[in-house]
Amino acid sequence: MTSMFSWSNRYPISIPAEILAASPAFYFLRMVEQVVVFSIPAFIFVSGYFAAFLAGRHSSKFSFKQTFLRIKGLLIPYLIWSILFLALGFVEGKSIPAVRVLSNLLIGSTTPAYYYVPLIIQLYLIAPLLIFAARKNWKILLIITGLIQILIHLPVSLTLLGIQGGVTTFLLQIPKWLFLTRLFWFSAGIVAGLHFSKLKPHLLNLNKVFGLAALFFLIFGFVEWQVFNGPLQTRETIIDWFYQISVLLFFLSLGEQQKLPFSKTFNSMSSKSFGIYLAHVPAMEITARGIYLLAPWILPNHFLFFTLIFIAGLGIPLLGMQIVFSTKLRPIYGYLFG
Amino acid sequence: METSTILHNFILDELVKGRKKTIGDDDDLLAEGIIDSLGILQLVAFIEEKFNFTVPDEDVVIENFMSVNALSKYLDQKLATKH
Repeated sequence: MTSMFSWSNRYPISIPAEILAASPAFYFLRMVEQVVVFSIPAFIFVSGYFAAFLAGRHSSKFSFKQTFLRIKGLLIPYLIWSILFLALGFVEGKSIPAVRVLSNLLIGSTTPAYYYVPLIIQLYLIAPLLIFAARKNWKILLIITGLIQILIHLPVSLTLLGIQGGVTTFLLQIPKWLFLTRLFWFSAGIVAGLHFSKLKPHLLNLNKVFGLAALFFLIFGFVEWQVFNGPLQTRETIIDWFYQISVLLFFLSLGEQQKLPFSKTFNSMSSKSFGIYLAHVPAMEITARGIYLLAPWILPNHFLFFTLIFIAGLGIPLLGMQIVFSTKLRPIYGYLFG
Repeated sequence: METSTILHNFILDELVKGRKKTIGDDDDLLAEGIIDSLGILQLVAFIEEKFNFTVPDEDVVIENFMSVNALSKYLDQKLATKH
């Protein structure tokens, strides 16, 4: 749900900042955006944890078969939804050269959201190397990938401060689908998967510290954006990175008996998250266009518009998944929704 | 109901997602792609709720989650110790 929420203010429902500025709807959307900034790193982290799980904590083997199965499980639904989206464009009369179609599929640019799949596939492909490094010396791995992550976020922070040009501009051009942009999170997941039981006792005592740090960096990130008048975010700053780390450490430092509210609902939803992620794009696009054409009076009512788009982005994929799952279409469920 | 039957039903209903009509108790859940990154978390959450037993982090290893049999053997051992 958080991944979908994360995207839901970046599509046709995104209203120009200058129109929204200083309105309650604007601050609400900004806060939502700031809160869910940890969602993509969290998914990448879980994937890294799973890669370590597949490799086995007590063995030095790495199963390429299982890894390729995982990649296949991501790739087939991704291709189906990407092609569906391309077909929608084709029906509308858009003409895209074949080379562009291929490059769109390769880097996940068929929609702004789909870059995640090529990104995670790259990370799974380099997982053996990262697992080897994490077994040899996990601290060095986290330091190196952490420094790379700083190079990814620092230019965004510098740009907010008005510092641009040279290396900053070059680093800002690194595409989001490239594994380097999230290498730290996947590596952190691997380290957790291999060494967490050793690390957990040290983290447990710091749960409140991490919770407070997350709150501090959440507010700091919000204020940072406000003071420096940032654009609606597509990249995260250093402050956002600290927030992401604090949130993750907060969750990791929860005791085994501590349960968060609605954990059952979130667990149930998490298993459907890849399907929601893939299907929410056309669901929101079509709903937004439908509102534009059939009920344009909704558009200035930002909260109502946002609510409808949110319900459509979550509800339509869940309904579609339920229909496929409970009918004769069930054998294709895995191909459609992962 | 036996532990293996409970696990078998849950995996078939919630994790297999129509990929297969049946699963054997010794089928490799990972090699067949039945358990993925979020599936493993879902399975742990189900075990914790259904059996009222917290799975320690150090026990979330491939050896315990490889198959329905491996998982039920692990759980039976842990539940016996608990009681």
